[in-house]
Amino acid sequence: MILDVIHSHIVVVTTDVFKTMLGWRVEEAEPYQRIARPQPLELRSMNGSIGFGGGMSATLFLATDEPLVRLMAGKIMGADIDPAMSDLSDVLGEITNMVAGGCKSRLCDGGFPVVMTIPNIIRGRSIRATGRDVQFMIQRRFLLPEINNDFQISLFGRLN
Amino acid sequence: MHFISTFTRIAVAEVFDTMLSLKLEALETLEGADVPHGPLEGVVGSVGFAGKINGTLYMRYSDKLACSVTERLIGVTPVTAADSEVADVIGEIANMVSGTMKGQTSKQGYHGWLSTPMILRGSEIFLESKSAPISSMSRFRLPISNDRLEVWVFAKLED
Repeated sequence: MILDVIHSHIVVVTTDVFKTMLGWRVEEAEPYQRIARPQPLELRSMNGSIGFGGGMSATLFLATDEPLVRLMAGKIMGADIDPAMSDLSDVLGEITNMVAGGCKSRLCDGGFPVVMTIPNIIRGRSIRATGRDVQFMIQRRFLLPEINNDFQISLFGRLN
Repeated sequence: MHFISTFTRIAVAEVFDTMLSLKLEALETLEGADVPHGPLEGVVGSVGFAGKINGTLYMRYSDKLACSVTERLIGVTPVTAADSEVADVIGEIANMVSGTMKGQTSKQGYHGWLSTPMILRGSEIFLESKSAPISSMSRFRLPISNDRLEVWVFAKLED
């Protein structure tokens, strides 16, 4: 089923991007379970977001918090730099773009063409995201054991 | 004013007129560095564009305005803005506005696909798009409320 393929791409690409870009090992927090019915999603204080069109209409969220994005920025920009909020948004946007772009490439290579939007950053408190006209939801939490932190990737959408 | 801002204003006015029989008054439109990114409260409907036009539309309503619009469209009075009917209506309006914009940009050669509508609710929300050379925010006054509707578009056009 294509959703299991998409899920597999998310795990592989996320692991690869975090290892390559940040040097961090990623572990899946819980075993994968299909979600029968999409539910509203609690976002975190700092979230990367990218939309997909084509073979699926969907939105991917990389949900995290500012302290983790600061650690990401330290890895990419150098630990001695105190990044501004705009730098943090750049870093999270780029990581989100690489995860979504890796999934897109793998889907296109597998004969499932999709296109994606540019990344957006959504910051705030107590943000709840609800999808309309969505048929599926893939939600995975990933652990970063080396820095004792975690983040979540969620994909809401429908197949066209 | 960038044509994306113009199309946004036209699409929002058309959809509110057609779906809700409401004549919106377009207030100011801010572009580029003048566009505020937050903090926002209330309900935000959003849809992404992917293709030759690439970006995201966000429509921000106060909780009260979101409930008023929902009641007007489906005849059901929501108890709170967290009700599922409100998310349905706000998502549908965002979908129709982005669909109308997509039709207009396609005529200019900028075709795109739409993502599914997402509805965000929370507090102190900031919206940013670092890769979008075009950013605009338009405010509208609705005859049913003193609260303003605010519409952001972050976009990139590819030749």
